[in-house]
Amino acid sequence: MKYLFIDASENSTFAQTGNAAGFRSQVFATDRNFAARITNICDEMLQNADMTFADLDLLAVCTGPGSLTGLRVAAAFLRTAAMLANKPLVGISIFDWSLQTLVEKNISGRVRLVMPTLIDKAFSINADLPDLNHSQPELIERTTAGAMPYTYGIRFSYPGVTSLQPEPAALHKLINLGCHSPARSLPEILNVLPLYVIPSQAERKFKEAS
Amino acid sequence: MITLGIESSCDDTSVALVRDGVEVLASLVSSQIEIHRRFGGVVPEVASRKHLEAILPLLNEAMTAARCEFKDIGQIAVTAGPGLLGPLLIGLSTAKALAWQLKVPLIPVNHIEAHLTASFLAAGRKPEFPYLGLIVSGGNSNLVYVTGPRQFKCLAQTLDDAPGELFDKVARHLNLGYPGGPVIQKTGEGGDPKRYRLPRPMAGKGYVFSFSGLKTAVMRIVEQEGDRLNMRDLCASLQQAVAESFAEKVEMALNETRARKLVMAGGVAANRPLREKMQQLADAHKAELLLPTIHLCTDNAAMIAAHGYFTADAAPANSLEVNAVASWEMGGPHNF
Repeated sequence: MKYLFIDASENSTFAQTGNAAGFRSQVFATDRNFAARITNICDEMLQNADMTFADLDLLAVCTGPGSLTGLRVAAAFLRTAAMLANKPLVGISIFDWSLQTLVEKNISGRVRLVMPTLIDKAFSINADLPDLNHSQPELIERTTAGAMPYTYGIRFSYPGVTSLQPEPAALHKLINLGCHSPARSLPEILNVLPLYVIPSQAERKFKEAS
Repeated sequence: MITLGIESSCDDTSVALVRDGVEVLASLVSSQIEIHRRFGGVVPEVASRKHLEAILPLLNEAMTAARCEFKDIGQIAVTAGPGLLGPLLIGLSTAKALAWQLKVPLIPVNHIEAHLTASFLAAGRKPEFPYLGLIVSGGNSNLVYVTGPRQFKCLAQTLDDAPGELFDKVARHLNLGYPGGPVIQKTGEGGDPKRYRLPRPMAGKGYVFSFSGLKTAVMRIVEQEGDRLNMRDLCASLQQAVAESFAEKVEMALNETRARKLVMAGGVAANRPLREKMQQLADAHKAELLLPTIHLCTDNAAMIAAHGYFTADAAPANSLEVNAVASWEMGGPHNF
């Protein structure tokens, strides 16, 4: 399966193409210019993989958690491209990608993943590997992140937490396993959205005030 | 040529298809006004989420309404600024995907410039230069002399609040609701505009606007009058003060530039007392006043498509690399 994946959840942008023969990934130092460079990134990735957009069987986009602005830009771009070209689109969360990374490392059983947020807290999920199904993300205090055994910190180091970097090979496997059924129709494409685990600051303040 | 326009600079998602810059084939707006009403203003993060949800269904709806297919689109015009960055990026990224896929030019448009083109679009005419432009909205208060496509001489700007912002703040203070402009107009209908003495800020002080003093003056009246306050007269008096403040500067500019076309644009251009005042002024100077229709006063993609059509030659060759920008002077370079 030929695919193009974009992850704009961080300051740098991660992109990956893949086919039956393997995968090719690249990190772009986009900082706040991801929206300005998105077409160039797609063109460069396709050219380096000797593919055209028409060749692609699947578009894939990271749904976060992470920078909501970056995630939305990637989603807006790839959702539109998928609708226009009638190509399936799949949203992949960093949690799923990280769990698959652990599976590739032959880790099984109960695990907990934590990922820092900008508000001094961390997202947390639980899973029972090799099953990739996981609990709904919840917010915990960062200071309690290392309190449980088998805790892995996604792109995050903390006492008692094993740091975990989601790996390109795991992403390739995850996409090819077809665990997530891709969106094909417009209503399905519209459901490919960034993970909104916590309400916006204004909504939180409004809730507190009322 | 059919231009597809996309607008998402604030709380309205809009998609339009315009033929040859003057014929609106479809112009749809998905307003978030009810969502933001409870916050008393636009919340950028909430607006960004709603734009992403709304834009593709709206695009499909507009294509159907215009009886167009994507292959019929000759170019894409999109608001690249000024505005709220998060919301702008949704429209820009969608437009980029369309231009990239359809292999048609992308024209990044300055939203404020497009408001002026809206008044010509309302008349089914292409922009005719030179003209005097007054842009009045929630975030802007600009008086400009326009000599050509994307050629502006800024004559006056506000030192503080824009008129829409003033109306919003006063309406909130008076518990009238949101957005302020329409509720203040409605409340002031039939009121005595001379009942309350409000200042004409910056009168006789050259090309400069200021509205924060008016807000303070209104609050003082509310405090002084207490239970005797006549809300209808206060709203009428406030609108009169705003209209006369603009009229003084516009009259100066009409005399100096000898422009014979006066174009008013922006959300506050829907305000009836202001429209009437500008019509009186234009008549006195034998100038033609061009006003947008109410639909074209507020943020809409039809004006973006029309402005994109008439400024396509000024678009950068590498427009797919343009970024959204929160502040962008009229006529200024594109943001990369």
